[in-house]
Amino acid sequence: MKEKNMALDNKNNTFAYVPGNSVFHKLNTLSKLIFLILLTIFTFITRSLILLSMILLLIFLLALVSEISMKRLIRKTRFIVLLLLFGVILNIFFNAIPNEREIILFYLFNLNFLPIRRLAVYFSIKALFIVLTLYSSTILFTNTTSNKDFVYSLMRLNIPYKFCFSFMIGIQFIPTIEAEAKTIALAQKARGFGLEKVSTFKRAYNLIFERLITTLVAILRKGHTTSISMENRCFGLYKKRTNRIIVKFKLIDIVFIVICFLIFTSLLLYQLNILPLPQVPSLYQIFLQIF
Amino acid sequence: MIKSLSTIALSFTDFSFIYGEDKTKQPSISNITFNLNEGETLVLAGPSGSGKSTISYAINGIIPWRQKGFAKGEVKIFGKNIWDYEFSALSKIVGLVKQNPSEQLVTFTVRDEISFGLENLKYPEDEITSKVEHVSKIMGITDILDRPIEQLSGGQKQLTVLCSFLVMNPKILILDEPIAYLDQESESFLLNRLKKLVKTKEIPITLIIIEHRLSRVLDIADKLIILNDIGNISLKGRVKDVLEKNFAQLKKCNVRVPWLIDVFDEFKRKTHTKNNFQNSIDFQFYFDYISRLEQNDLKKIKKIIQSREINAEELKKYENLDQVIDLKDTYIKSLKFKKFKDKDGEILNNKNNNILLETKNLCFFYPNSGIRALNDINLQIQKGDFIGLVGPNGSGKTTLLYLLANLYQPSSGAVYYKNQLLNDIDSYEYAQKVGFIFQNPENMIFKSTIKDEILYGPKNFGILSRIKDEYLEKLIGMIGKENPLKNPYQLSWGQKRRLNLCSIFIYDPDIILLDEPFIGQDQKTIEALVETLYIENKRGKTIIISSHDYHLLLKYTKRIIELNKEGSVLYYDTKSNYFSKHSNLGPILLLNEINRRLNEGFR
Repeated sequence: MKEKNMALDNKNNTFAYVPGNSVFHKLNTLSKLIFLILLTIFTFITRSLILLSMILLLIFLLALVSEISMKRLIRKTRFIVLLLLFGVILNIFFNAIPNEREIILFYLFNLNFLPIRRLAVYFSIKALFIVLTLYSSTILFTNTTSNKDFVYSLMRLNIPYKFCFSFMIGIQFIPTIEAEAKTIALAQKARGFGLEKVSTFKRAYNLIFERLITTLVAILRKGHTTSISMENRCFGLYKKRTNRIIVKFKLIDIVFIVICFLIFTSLLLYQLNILPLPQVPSLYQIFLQIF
Repeated sequence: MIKSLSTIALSFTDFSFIYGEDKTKQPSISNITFNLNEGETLVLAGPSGSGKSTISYAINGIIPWRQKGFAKGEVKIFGKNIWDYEFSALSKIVGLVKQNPSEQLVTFTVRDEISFGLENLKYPEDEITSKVEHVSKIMGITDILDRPIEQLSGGQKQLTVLCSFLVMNPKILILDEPIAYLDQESESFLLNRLKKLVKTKEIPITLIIIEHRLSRVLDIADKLIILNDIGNISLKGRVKDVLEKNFAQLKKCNVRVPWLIDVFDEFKRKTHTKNNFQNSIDFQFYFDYISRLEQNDLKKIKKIIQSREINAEELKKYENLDQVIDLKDTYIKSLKFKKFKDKDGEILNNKNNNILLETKNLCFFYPNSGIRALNDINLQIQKGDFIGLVGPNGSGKTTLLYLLANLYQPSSGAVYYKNQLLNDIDSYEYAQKVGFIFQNPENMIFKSTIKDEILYGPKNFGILSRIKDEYLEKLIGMIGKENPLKNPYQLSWGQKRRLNLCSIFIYDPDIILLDEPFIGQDQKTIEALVETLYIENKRGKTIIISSHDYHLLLKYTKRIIELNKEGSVLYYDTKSNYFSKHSNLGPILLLNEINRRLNEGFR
């Protein structure tokens, strides 16, 4: 795609809802939220990198089932992977626990002052997997959940409707803000901004103080109109409101939640060594076997 | 006595309001006094910044509950002072529909949106369903009830907002320029439903319509109030009385008077008392009237229509460029350009003229979506042309302007500037040749002073040293008597638009592209804008203006490009050829009838 038109990519919004008819689309938002919460808890308590990679694989499989194109998902996660890989390198060099007894895997370039420690590599890779798992599972959730389902599910959880609507309008406003910012960027460009050869610092300064303020004014004006319109239709008048749309639980939701809990509990028990199953070898053990 | 009071829905008595905490500031509105009876329709008009919205805020409770300021006088709704109402109570009886429907829609489908207010009022579900069905039936939108908001046209969106208020059964409904953002089709769609609502009184309501294009709404209005620049009432009365007795005064106000009355009022004056009839806003009345006129009178009325609506006769005074410079006192002599012949149609027929811009098989797709915005556009735009770009919302007008300005890259095909491929020209150089005016004046403001804002382009282009102080001063003068160090955001809406123009005139571009520049602008600003563009065109500038305002395009442009919903060129012709094929426009309809009658007479 030509660079100039990149700003126009409406589907470039990573977390936007993608309509579909998959099983994951049909699930109740709360079921998906439960899945997301359990997944998050597990990624933080598990110590096994092998298990973490299997979970990541599971998310990619679910994305495949949910009609989210692999190409799209990989494209969306590509940036974060690059960022995390950079983080891995930084972690290895600067976050390594300076403990003499810590296992040193090898010395980089055979230099004694560049030890690559086992724990540093482990924590770095673990951080990469955790972030990647959470990021891709959030994409899976938002790509298969419409704003409408999400808001009414939150209301079902007895979260005050004012917060739910504020949250939803915030999300709905994102494309408007994007469009406004793009128009303002074009207005700047039409008058020569960005074409002149000035320092990056000056350009960044101008970008912040010119584009941001103009965009902010435009958004505030729009937000003001929206809030007036809502208040004029008695929004916030009473603590409760009629909820015409009730998010219902279907059999598929119950089955899904039961499966989620079963897997989560089993993994937890396994993690706590309560389930008498053979331990998954650690990456370090595999590393030792290979070398 | 009690009975007569109860019929007064709204009364303002000597009401003034100052925004903010500074008592010494000029009031936004002052000494506003009027009454509106229950079931009546009021049209409120006036220039931008005259306080129309302030009045609407004082009715729906934003003033005093949500807006800080100083109020004087009294506003009563159904005999009760607004101070004695709770804000929540007022929102139940007063509704406010704003200009841009997209900023007011907060839910997902038409049904959700219409139900929104009733849900907030804790109505039972069954009642909500029946009320929504009832209102949508009256307004004729039952077929789109379950349609997602993003799939609606502009008119359908605004009608949805309107229904979402009507369903709450408000006593008073304020429509603040409800058709400003709509294309011609959507505008007719909304106005027809609105007129039906008022005439049938199926939902009894007191209506206040804020609109400066009076011809659009006067036929359903009972009363008319015109505000002036400083927030006073300059004219008020029953519509019939104002049109018959005070039309001359109405014309002096900064509003767009109905063209029909304007034309026939002049005809009356020119034929003295021979043709004496009462001013009406009924098109059919005048259509029938001309069928009774004699040949001489028909010629007279034809001449008036042509001079008023087809040719910009009042701008003929600017034919001589030297006069323009003396008269406008805006342009320095060094910027004088060679004269440019512009007789309608002449350029198109003369292939030897310079082609300034050309598009060849130009296509544009929105990236990753596959949605085609423009389809195989082939245009030749000659130097010095003045082109109106029309088409329904979503037909790709803005995209075409962006492509011509080199702000977007074509998906396929190409744009040429003076026979040179746009990609081969340095974008830095080309940007200086194009001045682009965006729809929202504030989207083009980046600096904290007027002076810096005007110099923003030259600074970016590195031509600051070439700008003469004298020229800069004159451009600032175009905005009004303003301090060059004033913050542009403190200017009125019309002044901001003039500032936009100044900020592109400063680097003297060859091509001026304008994207819906008239939206939200008052008549004086529109007149000043077209006048300035006319002069610029005389000075050799090529102008392309995208607008839904067919009347303005009919009068001021030389040529029309019409795009269809598929993003293809439907017409590219001289304005006379174009509008002769589009006879649904009032002045053309009348002219066709007059010509037919004149031809009959010669047989």
